[in-house]
Amino acid sequence: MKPQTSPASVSAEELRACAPPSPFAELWRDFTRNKGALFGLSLVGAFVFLAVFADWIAPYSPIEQFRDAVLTPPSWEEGGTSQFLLGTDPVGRDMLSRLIHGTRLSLAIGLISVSLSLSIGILLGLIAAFSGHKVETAIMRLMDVLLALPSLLLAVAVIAILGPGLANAMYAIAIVRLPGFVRLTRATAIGELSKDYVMASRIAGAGTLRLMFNTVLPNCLAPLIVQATLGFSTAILDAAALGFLGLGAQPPTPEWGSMLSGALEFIERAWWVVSLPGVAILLAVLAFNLMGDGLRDALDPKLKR
Amino acid sequence: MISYILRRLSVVIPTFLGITVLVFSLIHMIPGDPVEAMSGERGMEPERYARLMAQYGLDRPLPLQYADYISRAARGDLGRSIVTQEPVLREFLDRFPATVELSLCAIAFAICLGIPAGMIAALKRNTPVDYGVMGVSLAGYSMPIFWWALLLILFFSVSLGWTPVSGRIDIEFDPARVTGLMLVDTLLSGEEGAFLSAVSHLILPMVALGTIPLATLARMTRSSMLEVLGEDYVRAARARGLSPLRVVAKHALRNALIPVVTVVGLQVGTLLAGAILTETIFSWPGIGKWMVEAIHRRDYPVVQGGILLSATLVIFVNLIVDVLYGVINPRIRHTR
Amino acid sequence: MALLEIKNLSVHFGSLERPVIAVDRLDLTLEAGEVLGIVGESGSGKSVTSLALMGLVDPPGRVSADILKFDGRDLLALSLRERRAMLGRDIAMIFQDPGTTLNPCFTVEDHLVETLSVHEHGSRKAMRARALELLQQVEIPDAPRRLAAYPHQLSGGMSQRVMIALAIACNPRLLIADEPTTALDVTVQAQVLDLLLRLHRERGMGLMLITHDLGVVAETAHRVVVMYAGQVMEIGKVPDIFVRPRHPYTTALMSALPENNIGRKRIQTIAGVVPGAYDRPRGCLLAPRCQYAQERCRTECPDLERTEGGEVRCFFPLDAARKPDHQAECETLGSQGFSS
Repeated sequence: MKPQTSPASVSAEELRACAPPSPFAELWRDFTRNKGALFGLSLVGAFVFLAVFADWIAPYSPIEQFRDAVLTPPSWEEGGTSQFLLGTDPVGRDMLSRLIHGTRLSLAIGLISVSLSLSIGILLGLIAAFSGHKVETAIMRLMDVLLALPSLLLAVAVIAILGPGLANAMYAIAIVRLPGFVRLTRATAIGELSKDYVMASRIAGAGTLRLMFNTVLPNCLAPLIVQATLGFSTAILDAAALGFLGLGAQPPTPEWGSMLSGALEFIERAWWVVSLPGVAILLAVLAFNLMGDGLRDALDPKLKR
Repeated sequence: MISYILRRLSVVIPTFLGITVLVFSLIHMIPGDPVEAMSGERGMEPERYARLMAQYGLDRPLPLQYADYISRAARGDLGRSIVTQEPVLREFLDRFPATVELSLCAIAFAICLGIPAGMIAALKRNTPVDYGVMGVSLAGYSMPIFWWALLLILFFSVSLGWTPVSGRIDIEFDPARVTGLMLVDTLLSGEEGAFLSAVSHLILPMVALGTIPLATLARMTRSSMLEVLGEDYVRAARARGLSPLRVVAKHALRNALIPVVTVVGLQVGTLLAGAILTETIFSWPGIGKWMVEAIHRRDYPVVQGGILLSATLVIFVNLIVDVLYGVINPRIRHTR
Repeated sequence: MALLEIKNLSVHFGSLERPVIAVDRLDLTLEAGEVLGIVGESGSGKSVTSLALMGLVDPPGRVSADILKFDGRDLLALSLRERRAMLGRDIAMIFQDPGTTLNPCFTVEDHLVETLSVHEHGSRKAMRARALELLQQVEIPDAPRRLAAYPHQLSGGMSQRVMIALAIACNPRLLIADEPTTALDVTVQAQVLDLLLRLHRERGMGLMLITHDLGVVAETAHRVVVMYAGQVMEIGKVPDIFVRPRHPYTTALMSALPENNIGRKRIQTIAGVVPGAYDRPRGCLLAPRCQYAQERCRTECPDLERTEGGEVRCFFPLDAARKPDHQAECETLGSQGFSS
């Protein structure tokens, strides 16, 4: 057979040319191949843009009432004016402005509750994976208890204790999502712990904290990132549900769920006050779900090639 | 098999005790104390306050109170509603069949549509049929169900006038309560039109509540089916000359359904959570609506009892699902 | 008449514009009662060939052939249903990993009775008796108890025996064994191979033995087909091809056998890998890895030429001394080759 080329004869360019793409480039390539995921990502980008620049984009303040323009239909409907593109609500507030400011609230709720449950979940999960039998059992049983309560019911229970309100709704959602993150962290960490590189690091004298956060955690991140992205969508959904039940954000806060419940009695006369907040929730949830699914497919080595 | 069930039980019992602790401490975690919370903004005179504290046993040490709570709960005494003065358990049992009826119909709806849809999507992988099924189920999965319910009402009740908006049955009917399940009771009563009235009341809440489980099941069945269809034993079965229908319906489906059964079980929690919203919107007299009202009225014994009973229900159903999982998956039955 | 006759069989995957060639214009015959070995590295198209002739290549895979005859019947003219009816009854197949080829939800008996009842008629009781008999024929100890076993309760060797029992259940004329021993423990490999050969002898079945192990072929096969990157490189009778391989690839495979490397520090290997989906060479597929490759080999693809006792696809087949015909030209190039 052909004599093997010695490594020295391979030029640097050749090496670079056949080097595998960087992990991020590869992730990006796999992610963008998925059209749904790209759509989700651009939707999320649009929502983030709206949320950040809400004050500049929204034509009016979300709580400003135009008493002489109550329940104006959207501009393209009969009776609508270009002054209120998406019409006004029962007390004459501009729907478009409220929806744009609602984006800010929903994303903030998602961000805060997911960060809360993610950070506490990672911590508890790692402790469970690293610690011995008793601590692990205690943590996991506690999570079982939380899991036994249906998500919204648990949130409702937490609100019953803390009282209704936007901040309490966030805490409630964070608690509801906690068991998922703890279980996932523990399961992946235990999987990684049995691998040789952890043993190597341990032999090299790494302390437990170093092992936890520097050695094991980075290798558990992929599923956690996916779960966190999907957690965004459930957080937004649950917050809206709590707002709808009157247990979350309180009027006149322009939260999508509470906007919906405030407009219930006008369902037959003014479809827009009910439909539009729902469309906003659906799009936001859909965007994060699409993005999460895309991330999972791109990160899951089983599905590659 | 029996040892398998016993092992599951050994996990379930601590969980259940944990829930009783959680529910018990609920009342002590409320800012102020429960009696204060009950009194509302008007306040109450000191002697009445002391009497109520003593009446609820709230002046005794916590461990004693907990022991007391457990022993009473074990005897079925979950306290009385502050608003109606009815025993909590009785109120729960009154409303429970309505929720069961709604949930069962919703899950049946989800299974009947979701599993075949997922199967078809898997068999027609990467065709327009697949994209259609997956697109619709992703939308269903992302749907805020309270909004979805409103859309259903707007379309079918308001625009088309096909179905009623709220309640379980038209007021002209009053079937004798036998099982508490309106569909069964109306059939038993033999009253003309009563059954149809019950059905027409049930359809919209059922669809609203069943949508998320439906979407979840379709997605799950599809991915599970795809995984199984790529397995060696499916190819081997085809190599023995079995017809495609037999390969799919017998060899693939049975294995594909193993994870799906677990998902169906997990949907019970989702259903109860969804029932809170669906029942509120459709004025369905079940435990979801009951609990939301209780929270708004600060009726803490009801909240407490409701949470305990719902959690018990979820644990119990999950236990059944685990056992069922052992039955259909021989590997679990034998090896663990 | 040959039991199996294949002419110009091709299997393509991927898009029509940029097809991935898995099997490339393959010709093959298998006589009744013959043991035909098919050898090659992984990715050489051995398994796809067998799946294609069973009709089990799924879209997007595309199968084409000029002739595909089994026992005188033209398989290409049969309907899907007729073709399926032959699977398991006339042509049976066993696979590489017995641990995953039995359905975990069903018992051994379920598998056997199902296969029997698809192809034959009879009472459930008769089927059960047949199933038990089959297990005994494949030398499974304690057969009555094993009937009720689930696949996860069987060892690898035991599972493979069950697979063999399933394959021979309806007395097929041809048994395709795709790497039947690769996934098994070394001690079990020989037993399973012996069992296959015994059944082959007793029943006069044709046996197509797909393997990457030349040693197995040397011990069992009558003829050998050497495949590389979807093409047949050489076909030869068994002692001959080992005594006098004509294709450089065959020689390379043989010199990579551990028993031919006794006393060496390192086992000789074949440099490089099988060409990938999109980088198939223009000329002879082996050219980039062949130490005897000439200019012609890089530009033209040789045809399969008939030689005495076999066929070979090479412009410069090796002579008895395992030197290429153009020895004079490549004396200097080949000095460090595997045959030195």
